[in-house]
Amino acid sequence: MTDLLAQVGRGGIAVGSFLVDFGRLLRSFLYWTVIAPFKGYPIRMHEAARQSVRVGVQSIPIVFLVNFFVGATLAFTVAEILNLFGANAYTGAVMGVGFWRELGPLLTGIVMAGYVGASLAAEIGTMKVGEEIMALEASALNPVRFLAVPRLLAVLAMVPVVTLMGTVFGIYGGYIVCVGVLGQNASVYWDQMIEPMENVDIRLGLIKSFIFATIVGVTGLVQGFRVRGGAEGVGAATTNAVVYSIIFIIVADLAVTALHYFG
Amino acid sequence: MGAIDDTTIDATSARGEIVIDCRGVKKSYGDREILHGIDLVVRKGETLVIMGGSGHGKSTLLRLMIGAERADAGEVRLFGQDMSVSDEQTLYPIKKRFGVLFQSSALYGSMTVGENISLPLEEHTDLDRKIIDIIVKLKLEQVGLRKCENLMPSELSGGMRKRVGLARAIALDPEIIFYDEPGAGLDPVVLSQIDQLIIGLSDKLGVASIVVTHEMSSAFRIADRMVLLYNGRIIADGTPEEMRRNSAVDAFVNGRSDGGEIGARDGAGFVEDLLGGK
Repeated sequence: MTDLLAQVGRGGIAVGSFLVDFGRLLRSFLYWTVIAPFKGYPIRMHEAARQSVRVGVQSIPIVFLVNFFVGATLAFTVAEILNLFGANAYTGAVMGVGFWRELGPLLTGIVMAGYVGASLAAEIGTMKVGEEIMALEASALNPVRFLAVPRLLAVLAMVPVVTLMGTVFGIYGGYIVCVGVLGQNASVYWDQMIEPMENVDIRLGLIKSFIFATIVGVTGLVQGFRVRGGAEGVGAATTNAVVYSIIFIIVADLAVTALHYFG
Repeated sequence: MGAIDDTTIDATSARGEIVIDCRGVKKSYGDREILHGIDLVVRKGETLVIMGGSGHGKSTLLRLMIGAERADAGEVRLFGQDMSVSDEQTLYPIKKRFGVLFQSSALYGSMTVGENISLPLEEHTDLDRKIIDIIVKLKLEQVGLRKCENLMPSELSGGMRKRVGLARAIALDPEIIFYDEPGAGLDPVVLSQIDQLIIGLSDKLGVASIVVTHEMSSAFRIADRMVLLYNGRIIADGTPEEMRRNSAVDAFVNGRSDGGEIGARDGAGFVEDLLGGK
């Protein structure tokens, strides 16, 4: 019992310490993007553009695969359940609202936690171990400005875009199953998908994707900057980046959804 | 270089302004006190070698000097500026006046050789792109490299990486250059070439050089002055000739444990520790 409590306590301290560093990096990011450019420290936009290709363009295949196949799988289950009530014509409605509001942002966020968050932690962590971060600081170059800002800007810009694409892929996966396999009418599928949708569904999805992007980007960077030791430290940071991101994403998802429901 | 007598030292001291001033510097990591009160002065144009075994505080002292870490007590001043201030913007003008060659070279892996060297010039000067490109070529020439501006760090040998790291360290024509184990991982031939670069830069540019190393042959070759760190304290300080006559230094150089302070082991209690108290 004592060991369990000690473990919980240690876990709490670890999370608390991480949240402090999360807040510090976010504050530093805001300084270097909002205030510092007016003091003669421009944002490195060419580096942000390069990172955007890596975060956005190169992640499209995996986002497509995950959302498309989850959409297809979900369509089978939703159609089967709605069929019990003779309402399988509304499969499109469930897929549309479900993906726009929830599954698109959530699935894409979790994919990006693994694809981008781990990559950020590994890259920055390796630079920390290789003294590149110290070399930047010794050269009067701020590592947040040089490394974190372009990468986080890329994540914040690209993840919502990729989320939109993932949502479409997921709905299309459902379409392939409903129309191509289950023989539903294509027009009915699309009409029912659009009918119940409101602006709030798209807005909620975009808000979530932006929050998830912040979580993935900042978590990956913080874990990278916190690396100590050699390869083992980098490995631990990479794992922690993914685990922390996923946990915070699902907690934030519940919080935003609940706020919307009761708001 | 290196065989400087007392007269020359006195004359140098009289001429050279103090560029680094450490007073009562202490540093701990957790419960382990690494530095126990270091007093050290470095003058302009001087090549100081900091020797010592692994774990005795050499690299820690260097990190305090370059502002990478803050001392727990005492003062570290470069060009009169206290390096422990928390506002990093205050330290930027000081950091532009020194360069660092790290043990691992610490080249930016996502940039070419040319981009590594030009980065400080782009960020800290208003020079035209063409001028920067010329300076990059000049710096590479100074360290004995040519036509490798477009190579990536991963394509370089260990010796080439050290040279590029050095070219980057001198990009802004610094007044101090810090070398953290410049010979680490290099064969004796390449090490000797790096030593010649260090001597040449000191002679031609008049920079102060602080070299952290435990490569003895290299240390005696390049030093104007040497200090020996042991358990976080300076136990010897002098010219290479003075150091050769110092018994503690002699014991360290020759890897002996009979030098009094260095390497002395307390055998009492070892058998009990080994056998778990039985």
